[in-house]
Amino acid sequence: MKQTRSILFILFLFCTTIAWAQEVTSGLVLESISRQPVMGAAIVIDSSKNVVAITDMNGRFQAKNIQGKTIRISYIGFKPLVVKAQNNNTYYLVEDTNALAEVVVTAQESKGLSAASTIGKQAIEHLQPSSFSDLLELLPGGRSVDPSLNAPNNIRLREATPTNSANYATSSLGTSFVIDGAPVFANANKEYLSGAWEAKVTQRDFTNQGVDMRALSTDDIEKVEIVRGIPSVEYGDLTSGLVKIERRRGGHNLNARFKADMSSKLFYLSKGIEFGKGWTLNLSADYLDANRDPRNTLERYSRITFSARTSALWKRNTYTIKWINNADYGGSFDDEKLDPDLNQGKLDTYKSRYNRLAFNSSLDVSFKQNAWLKFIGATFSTSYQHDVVSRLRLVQLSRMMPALTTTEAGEHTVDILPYTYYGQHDVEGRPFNLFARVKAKLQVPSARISNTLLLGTDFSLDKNYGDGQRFNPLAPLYTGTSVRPRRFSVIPAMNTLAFYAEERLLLPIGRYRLELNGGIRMNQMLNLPTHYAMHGHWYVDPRVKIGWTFPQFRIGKWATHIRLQGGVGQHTKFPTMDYIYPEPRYLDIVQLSYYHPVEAFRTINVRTYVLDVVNKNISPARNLKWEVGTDVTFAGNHLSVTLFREDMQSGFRTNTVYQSFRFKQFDTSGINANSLVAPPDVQTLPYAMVQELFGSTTYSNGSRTLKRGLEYNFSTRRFSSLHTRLTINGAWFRTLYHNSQVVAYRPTAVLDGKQIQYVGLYRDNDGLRTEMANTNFIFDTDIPKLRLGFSVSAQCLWFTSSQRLPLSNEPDKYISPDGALHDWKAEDANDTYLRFLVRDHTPKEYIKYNVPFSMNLNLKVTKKLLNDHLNIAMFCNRLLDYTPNYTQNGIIIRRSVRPYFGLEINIKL
Amino acid sequence: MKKKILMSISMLLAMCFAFVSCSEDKNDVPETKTSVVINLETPINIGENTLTDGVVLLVNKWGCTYTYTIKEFEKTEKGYKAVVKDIPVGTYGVIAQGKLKYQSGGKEITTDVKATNDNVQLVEDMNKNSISLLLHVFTGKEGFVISEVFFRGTKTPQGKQYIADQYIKIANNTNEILYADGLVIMQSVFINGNKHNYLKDYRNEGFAADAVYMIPGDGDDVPVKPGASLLLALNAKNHKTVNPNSFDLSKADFEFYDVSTNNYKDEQNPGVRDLERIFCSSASILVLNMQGNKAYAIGKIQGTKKAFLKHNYYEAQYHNEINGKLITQKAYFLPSSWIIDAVNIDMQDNPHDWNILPISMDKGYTYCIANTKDATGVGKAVVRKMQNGKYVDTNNSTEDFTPKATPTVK
Repeated sequence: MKQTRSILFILFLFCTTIAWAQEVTSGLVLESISRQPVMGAAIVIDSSKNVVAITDMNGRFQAKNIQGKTIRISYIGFKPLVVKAQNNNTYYLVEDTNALAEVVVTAQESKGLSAASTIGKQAIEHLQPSSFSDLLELLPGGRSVDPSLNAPNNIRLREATPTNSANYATSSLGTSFVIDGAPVFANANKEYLSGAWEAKVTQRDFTNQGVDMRALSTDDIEKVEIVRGIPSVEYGDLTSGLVKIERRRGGHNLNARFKADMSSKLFYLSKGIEFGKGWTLNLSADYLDANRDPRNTLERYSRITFSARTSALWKRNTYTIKWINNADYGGSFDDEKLDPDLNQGKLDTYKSRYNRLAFNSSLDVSFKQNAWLKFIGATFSTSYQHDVVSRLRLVQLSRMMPALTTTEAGEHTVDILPYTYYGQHDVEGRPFNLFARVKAKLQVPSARISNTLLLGTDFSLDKNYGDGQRFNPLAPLYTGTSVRPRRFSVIPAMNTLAFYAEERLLLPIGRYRLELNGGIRMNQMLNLPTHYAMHGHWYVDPRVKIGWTFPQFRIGKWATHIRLQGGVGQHTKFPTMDYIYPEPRYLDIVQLSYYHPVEAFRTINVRTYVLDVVNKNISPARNLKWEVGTDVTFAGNHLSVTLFREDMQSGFRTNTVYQSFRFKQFDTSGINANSLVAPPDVQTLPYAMVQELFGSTTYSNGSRTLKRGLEYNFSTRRFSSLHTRLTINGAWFRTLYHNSQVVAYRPTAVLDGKQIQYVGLYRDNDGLRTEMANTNFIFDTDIPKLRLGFSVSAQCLWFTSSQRLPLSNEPDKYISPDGALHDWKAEDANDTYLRFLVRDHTPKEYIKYNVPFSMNLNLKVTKKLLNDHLNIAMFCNRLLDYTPNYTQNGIIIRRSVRPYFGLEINIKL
Repeated sequence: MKKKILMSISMLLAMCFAFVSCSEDKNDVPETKTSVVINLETPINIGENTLTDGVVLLVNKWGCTYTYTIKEFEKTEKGYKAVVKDIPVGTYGVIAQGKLKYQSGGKEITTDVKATNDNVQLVEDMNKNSISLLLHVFTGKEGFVISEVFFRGTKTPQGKQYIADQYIKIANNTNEILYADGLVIMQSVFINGNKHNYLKDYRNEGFAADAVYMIPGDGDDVPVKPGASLLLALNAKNHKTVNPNSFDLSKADFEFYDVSTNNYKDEQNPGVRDLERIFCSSASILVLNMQGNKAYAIGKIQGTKKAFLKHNYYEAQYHNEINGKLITQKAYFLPSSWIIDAVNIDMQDNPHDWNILPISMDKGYTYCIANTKDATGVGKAVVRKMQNGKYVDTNNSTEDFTPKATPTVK
């Protein structure tokens, strides 16, 4: 870290020593379509081939003695511009890939140094998505999947076939969503019904899994950049990726969209207003209604969003101020119930209500002057959620169950639950987030080197004001589980503070060009109790990316650019509120459960232990990524290839820990049931003290996710005769999931009236290696004359495979009921009781399963009518498919897929 | 007493042979004579032993006159050997029985043994005439039968499934008082319709149990009168207080009480004795297989409980047909000789092409439901038929039981 600092300092010194001339000509270089500044364009005097200037981050350049001379402005991916230089002129560069038509319906590889996909508005419109999840099809390795809107959708970047296990969810938790500069935080999400075991509840739990993409509407999106590789140090609290969403601003249009597909309907309405000088206001609303099965109206998902966005731009001679404000509401609702008419009139419902209010404001000031300070920006965002998950069901017990009401450790004679009652269990969360960021961009004026130093700091606060688990302990929904209501609001707020600095350099070396982005981010979690290992600890994320561009050369008549790039970076994601402050676990051991035909004489006595399951040693999940790649542009065709490796060894997971507990076992054999006048009194009953092992779950850093792979994207220029462009993208991924921790297991078998009293500790545990390779061939045709666009994509999945890693059968050690640890000896495998500790995994389980080739053919069509006011679009996924049967283990596996289609109408007034 | 039964059985058998054959034309006795070696093998789980009062009867099948009795035996490696000379060639039925004295659990045990084979061909070439019979240890409690299994549970008035009222009934099917002490009640680990290629396939050799419960007692604590039955309830309470559609099982003779330390505590009903839980593959409270595709058996463990737990452990293993994974079901195995009665329960629509019980225990099956989607069998039981005041026991549940019957407990 010290080294990085000193390097930065030296760079500074180096930059400041460059002489500064008086006679200057300045200019501005912008992209012709987007009017975005082009940073790093080289200004060459055409006669001498010498680079005289490089544009800065605002697209500006200054050079001496060029007034009136012919200059050549070039930047990779753009057609070089040869013009006469004039002071204060603006030059527009035209992209050479999109020279013919600007319609891009696929994701494009970003021009930056890290692997990232940019998805523009046209691509989104052509895709016809219902929620953000649908966009992931466009990433390398992506494939069209039917929307599954009845359960949360998590993002899993660069994974072959992601496991569903919550123990490997750090990958989605560690993917940060940033909307208009404000990150979406899910750190204080604790919306799970504690003790729930029903699939309809547990499948909809996305605590510790990051953002639910169902709740993100796509219609306001102007552009998304999904950074699969190493993001800038400006972005923190992430391990796996970054999703940067930019929403539309300005315009005067009234837009409406109506979409229907096989499982959902979507309505969208928006209006853009521009007024005054540089003021814009955009209002939009969206409603999505989805049924998993359209015939079943009892299970549905709906989403409502409202958005109001303003921006103001003040241009002055020396500076520009941009001020944007967003106010958003997002509602995401799941409902599932049983029809009372088919359920003997009983109610049986599941409801989730996620309501999110968010506001963000950012003020950016850009300076035009040749000062060091080029930009200063501040962002403030806040969000407040009111989330309730609620489950109601009739509970019918067949035996005596304790009502676990006591929250203190000790022995308690407790109430007995009735046999039949309605059980309702809610969890109410009110996550609140506050985020503030200040950043500045500095630049040493130079004609030789384009350089930017980004300095910034951000702070975020997460707090949950919710009531937490809400249920009546005398009528609990999940009986037999030791859950107690606790308010989330007693959990302290989590604060994180970060500082970062990043230098971006563009250095022409001869006719080569070196790009260097190097930065460092320091994160600390504040407000932590001192006994936590993370307390006061700075976690440092250095991230460096280097690019090397070869001079343009020609093959025949075609201009060719080649750039090689690579990078390495560390990423840190702090544990969530649930990981740091888990709910206290209760252990309720029934010491006496006396049943008597007379209800008044029944009694249950419970020994309650309150277990501290806080893992003080929990640390952030850290992901080390490296990647190398190349970008090649040849005759307007573009190829990019990235080879990567990401190793996250400290992903979060649950772990079961066994301890020995002592309790009484009351002996009721002496009671004469017929002569009782009152329930048996534990004070007078004889008992035996017993010791037994009980397990409790804690959170730890034991999940390793190792991702390796190759991503590629090739897009041709549009062949003018056919109006068609071919895009080939795909990936090869190999992912390893592995539990690096010792696993404890107690066999469930009962011998001679007692459950096996021992717990085995095993070294080699769950490990899974998955692999896949795919290629999508997309032919997209745009016929401007007919206002017709259509695309055919052949999505080839070459194979997927999965293989489990060997597990140890015999434990290394075992725990006896007194809590003592014993070494496992070979002869223990023959002991009447200990032999149950031997797990029965066999090599057959570790063979590799391959699913061979399959291909889907998807069709998408858009047609503009009525002077472009009306746009009709339809899609059909898997219109044709090739999914042959295959043989596995001597068994023929038959595969079949079904088409999925939808239709939409867009109105633009 | 035991001997009497034995004798009567063998007499009956002999009479049967005689009767059947006598009704036919009396053919000439074949002239050709041969000799035969009879090997009596003792069960593998019995160590050093001596056979006393051994007798082998050969009854020919073409006439009613020839019965050969051998009483002299020679000790061999696997058991005992006897040679019969000058016997006419032809088809014979063989019955061997006797008393076996051996050590088990540190004690000397004398038990009756028996073996039969009712179709043996004796040919002229005496080298080909070798009969091997495996001596079965039999317990002398053969008079108990499983008379009813109620596994489907009932429905609550709110329409929810209620399963705590499952029960099993076993009955004394003899004319004498029998003692049920030490009788074990078991559920099979094998599942009907779940056909697998077990590595050690013991389906034809005995009963593999995933739950073994024992009636406590020292030998004369649990007398059962002739024709009377024992009601073994999963939970012996008056279920009507919980579910009006259920029964009062508070007068049950025994209950399956499962000691546990978690919150799902079983109810121990005062006044109803608990069965001893010898083995259960799961620590949770026992529920009889609701689908109705397992078998139930009663039997008697030979030797001590400790020795049983040590030596009769059985890992029922098979390779999953789809992914090849080795599936291990942890179970305990009881040889056929220990089994007194068994009933095979299956779903009606299953193919019934894979027997989970030896044919000698149960040739057929009985049922409450047709398939997994059939909801009609709730509240129904399988009940053994009665004929002339006795339970029908032909070791064929298809014939012996009334499927989908109304439970006898009201």
